[in-house]
Amino acid sequence: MRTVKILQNQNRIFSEISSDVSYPKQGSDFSMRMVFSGNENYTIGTRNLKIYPDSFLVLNEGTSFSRRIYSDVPVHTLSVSFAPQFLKDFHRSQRSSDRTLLDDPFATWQNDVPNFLETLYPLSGDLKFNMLHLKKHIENNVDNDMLYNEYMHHSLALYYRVYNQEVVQKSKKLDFLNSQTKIEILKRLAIAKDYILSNYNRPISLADISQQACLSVNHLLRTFKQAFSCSPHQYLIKVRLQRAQYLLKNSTNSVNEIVDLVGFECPSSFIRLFKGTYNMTPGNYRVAN
Amino acid sequence: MDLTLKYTPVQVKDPESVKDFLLDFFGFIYWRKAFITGNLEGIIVGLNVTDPHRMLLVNGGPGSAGTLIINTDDCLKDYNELLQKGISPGQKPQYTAMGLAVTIEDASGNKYVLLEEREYEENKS
Repeated sequence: MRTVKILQNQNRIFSEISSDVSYPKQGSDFSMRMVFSGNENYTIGTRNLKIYPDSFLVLNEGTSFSRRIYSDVPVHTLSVSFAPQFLKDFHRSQRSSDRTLLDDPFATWQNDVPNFLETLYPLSGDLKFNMLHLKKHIENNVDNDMLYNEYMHHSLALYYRVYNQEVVQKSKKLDFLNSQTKIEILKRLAIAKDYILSNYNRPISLADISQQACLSVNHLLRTFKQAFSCSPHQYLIKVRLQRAQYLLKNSTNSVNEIVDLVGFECPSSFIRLFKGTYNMTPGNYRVAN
Repeated sequence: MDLTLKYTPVQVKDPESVKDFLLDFFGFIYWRKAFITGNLEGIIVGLNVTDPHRMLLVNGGPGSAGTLIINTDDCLKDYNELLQKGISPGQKPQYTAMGLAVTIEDASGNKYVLLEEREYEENKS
């Protein structure tokens, strides 16, 4: 089932439920893409990414990609794309003073809208709540452009907030003087992080991650820690535990099955790590939720 | 003891106009005027027939505009509906530690906070 809502200003919202579908080469305006169950595969150039319910992917205008869903359970996807003029106008409202906006309300933003880092961002908090509302309105076939645009505006504002936390603040943590170097390192670290988020359930090594990110192992270890305040291995464990937490809450899989699904080698180390992180055993967590 | 919380007194300026505002824009229903004790009188309003919780709008006197907090499951949708009904809240919805909220002020200065509570910790997993 697929629902497409094209607003008068050319902002678009796509909602789809599918378990086996493939879309070859596509392109779109600046977009935010997410799933609420299962996972979806994206191929962007040579990168293969998987979106899970705890993250969303951002793609810039003109980026070409293909995507595929192949799952035992129905996967609910949602993507919102923003017309270039809407994005420019929003960006101008964020960057200009109130005086300027009042003096010349319909001026076109002369500078380019930034090329956002095409990576997986955490889907949580207000952004997730708003997206769930948007999904509900699309499912209920609500026909109200004004309401949808209110959500689009808020989604963009919240994305700017996430971008600031995930890109601007993290780049400040990198110990390099040259800003171009910082940007390039952050791009490669984002590839490393996305590789972990997309392959957390497989045995992956530091060498695999460093190869993907085009950073030597030592360079990766040093810079990853600066940006994310933990090592790639600690990050991997964190992702596995978070996804196990999700499955404990949202699936009927046994704890042993979940251990396999999230890539831990044995139940005992999983239970020890889970208890150390969340102060309760996986079994107790499931009962409490 | 088998107690329930049913009537919550809220001091407002001009309870009649507050009642009209709640009925016209938020879909409240009017129950009746009430004298609960000697000096506690007001107007009882509620959200619907089945909700046992009701507000007792009490006149707080001059300069005593009140604040009513009304919970919603979708603040942006309700904000949008208010705009379409011709109400122009002084501010846009704001993200707060408790959730998304927008404040509307009536002609007497009473404030209505439309609050969509959000469990942020719950949302993490």
